[in-house]
Amino acid sequence: MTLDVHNLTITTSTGLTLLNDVSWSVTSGGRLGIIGESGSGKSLTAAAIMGLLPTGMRATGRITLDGRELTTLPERELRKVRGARIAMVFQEPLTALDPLMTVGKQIAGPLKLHRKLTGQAARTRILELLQLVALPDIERIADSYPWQLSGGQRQRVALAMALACEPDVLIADEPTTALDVTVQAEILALLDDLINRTGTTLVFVSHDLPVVTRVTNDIIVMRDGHVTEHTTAQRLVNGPREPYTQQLFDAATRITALPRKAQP
Amino acid sequence: MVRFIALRLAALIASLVLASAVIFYVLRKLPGESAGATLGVGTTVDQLDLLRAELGTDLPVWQQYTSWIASLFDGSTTSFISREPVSELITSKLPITLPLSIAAFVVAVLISIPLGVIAGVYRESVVGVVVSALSQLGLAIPVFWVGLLLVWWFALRERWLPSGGFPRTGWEDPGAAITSLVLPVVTIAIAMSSVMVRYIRSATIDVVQSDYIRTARSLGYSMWGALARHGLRNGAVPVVAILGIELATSLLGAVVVENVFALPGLGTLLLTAVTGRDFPVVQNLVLLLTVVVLVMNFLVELLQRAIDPRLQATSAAGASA
Amino acid sequence: MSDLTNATHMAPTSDDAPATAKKQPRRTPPSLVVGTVMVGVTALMGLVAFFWTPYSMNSTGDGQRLEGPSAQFWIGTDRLGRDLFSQLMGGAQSALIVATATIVVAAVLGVTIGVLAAATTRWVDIVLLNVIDLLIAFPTLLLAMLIVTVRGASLAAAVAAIAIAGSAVIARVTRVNVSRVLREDYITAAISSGTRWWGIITRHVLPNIFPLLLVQLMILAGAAILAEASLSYLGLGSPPPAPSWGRMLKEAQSTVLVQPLAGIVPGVAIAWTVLGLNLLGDGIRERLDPTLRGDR
Repeated sequence: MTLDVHNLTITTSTGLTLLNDVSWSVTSGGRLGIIGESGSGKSLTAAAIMGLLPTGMRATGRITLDGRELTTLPERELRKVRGARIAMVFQEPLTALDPLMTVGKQIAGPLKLHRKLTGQAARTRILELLQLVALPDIERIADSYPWQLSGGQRQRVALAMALACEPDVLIADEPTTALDVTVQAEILALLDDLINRTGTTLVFVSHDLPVVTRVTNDIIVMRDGHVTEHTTAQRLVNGPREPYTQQLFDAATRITALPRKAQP
Repeated sequence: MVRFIALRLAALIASLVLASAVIFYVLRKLPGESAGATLGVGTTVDQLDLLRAELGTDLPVWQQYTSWIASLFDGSTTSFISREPVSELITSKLPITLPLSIAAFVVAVLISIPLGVIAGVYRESVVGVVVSALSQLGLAIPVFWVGLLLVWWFALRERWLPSGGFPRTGWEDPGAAITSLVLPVVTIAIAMSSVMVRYIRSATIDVVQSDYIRTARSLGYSMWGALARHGLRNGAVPVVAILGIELATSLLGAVVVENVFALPGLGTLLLTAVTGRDFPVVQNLVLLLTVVVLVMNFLVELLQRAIDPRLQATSAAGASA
Repeated sequence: MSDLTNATHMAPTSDDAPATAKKQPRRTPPSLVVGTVMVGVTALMGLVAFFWTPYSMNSTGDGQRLEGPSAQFWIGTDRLGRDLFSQLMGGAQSALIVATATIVVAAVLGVTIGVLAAATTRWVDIVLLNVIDLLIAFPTLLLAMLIVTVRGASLAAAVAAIAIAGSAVIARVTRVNVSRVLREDYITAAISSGTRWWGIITRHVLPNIFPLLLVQLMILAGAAILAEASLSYLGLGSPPPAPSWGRMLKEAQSTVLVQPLAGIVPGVAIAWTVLGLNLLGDGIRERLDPTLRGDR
């Protein structure tokens, strides 16, 4: 399962270039971190892979999954990839889930769509998934609405939904940014564990350097739509670094120094 | 839920009492001695006393109010002018006004839901912009002018439909009755759908741009598939509100439009009563229309709660929030 | 002041939005320009009508009955031989009066009540809010009919009904936004630094919500002109011979086949003015919040 992004460039209808000649690849079971400030184009890259760019934006270049070109795939075929082979987890778990639909029904969606699972079979799989993401009291949670759950529980549900059809690649776009620090650590540990167990390839997008280095191996640093550095988590932590990466690193150590002391 | 209904019901009754008191007060106590004004100049003292007794203006105010409320239920109030009981006058007009406003509402809903959704989903494309501009225009046009233009073109110029009036025999000749309602229905429907399209469009935009639609699409749903799965229910909450309000408004639209088309319905009855200073008719009819509006608002609130379980979780007493 | 306004009204931009969108300079939205021009034309017509009209608005001897448009009578004459263009200008004058009176009354009454509801005790708030909601639910048309039944048809009666309903709307908008602003940190800072209640309202809160109120007042002015037109069409507005677009249309109804312009031009004037006011409102809103596009 190799996800290959080659010379990806995204332009708007007004002619602005938002993403310029981005290339990277992640092999089966690999863990790639994309790091950058807001506006660096990291989330846009994720949207381009899913084929879900906002209207008016155009992507050129190649995105291949196991050699299969995704950018030229017709929408019908692309829909069979989304959710089944590449799935995504978003930043804000409260709004990413439908507030008026129970958690169980929402997870049932991709199961029915890609696996034709319905009724009792679907229910069994839903409970299994909720168990997989280490939620307690799974029967009750399956019948709850998202707003009845805590932030961490919601993100676990979102993970369960993304992993429902055992995708090859999971793209996590700032999945812990909206969470409390302690919950953040729990979700990261869970993600780490899930990726280990399922062998899913992970693309982890974040502005938060310590978070990225915690769960990924390969890292690319982005700024203003460009890739500024291609490195590994280990090298990033131990240095030396590119000047911009150094800035990010300094900022991260300054900020995270405070809450860390408060933690047990 | 029971507690909520009880609380809202109490609030509804309070509003009804307040509204009826205001109507009562305005008609009785606003400067301009009503009894004298009704009979005009040159009335004798005896006539005035007689009328005062009939109106009950010689009683204390609160007794006048309660006896009016009581008379609503036994139907004993009669018109100053025709001497017919007001309740009979009103029920005799319903066969025109009710079909008119309900048909207009249904037509407006059928037009505006598809147009509003399309304008919302394709808001950047030509269709979306055109629909949106049309609804902007519709909002700026007075409803009676729409009626006037339709009469001019379809009734006077092309002579396809009657320019106004209603068959004397009522619904005995359904064909004639329906043809005389076509233009009025279209008139009200055009005005109402301008409002509805705007609301449905913005509800659709909210849904389309929502994160849960993006999530559904990332799981493999098509845009329309995701909208069908998540949009209907989420969009319904704001849309139900506007539909409920517009259903009540369609009755008021009828008040104006009946006058354009000389339809002898509730609107014409009300206008004649206002210009003829027929106090009992104005009082009861205005109250009736107010009750319809307030009850609609109440039902909308119940319906919204049934759709959105989040509203059930919030405090029922939070009317001030 | 403008800095505070910007800070509170800017909708949060999505985290990873294209950086260039944020750097775009503030443009004057087209709707603001178009709306201003449209409203300006009507206002100018109405103002000029105070001093001069081509013919007297009501003198019946100037032309033949139902004359077509000519160099003399630009859009013709009505069935009494009165110049339609002069009446149109008179209608603009009435619309101007109705809109201005409604805006002034609704602004004064509505803002006062809204501030009272937001800034005083909880019970005052609950009572006021329920009365406001009842007034908003109560149709303007019915309110006007009640007043007219008692006092007879007049421009004042129509304006009173419209202004009462408008005040309720403005009161609600004020209430919601004042309480929103009162929760902001800089207000807490102002309170803790000893600024008086009155000072906070006049110096911090009202300037902050003023642009929002302006949007509502523009939309309200449009609604007022529409409502007045309906009322005078029904014969519940200012009685003849005072000029009014609504009554011009009523009078034109019977002669529309002979003199179609009389049935079209006043309607266009109403739609033009109301559309202008709505666009003006949209334009102000867009100018405040450039991220909020697509309401066109």
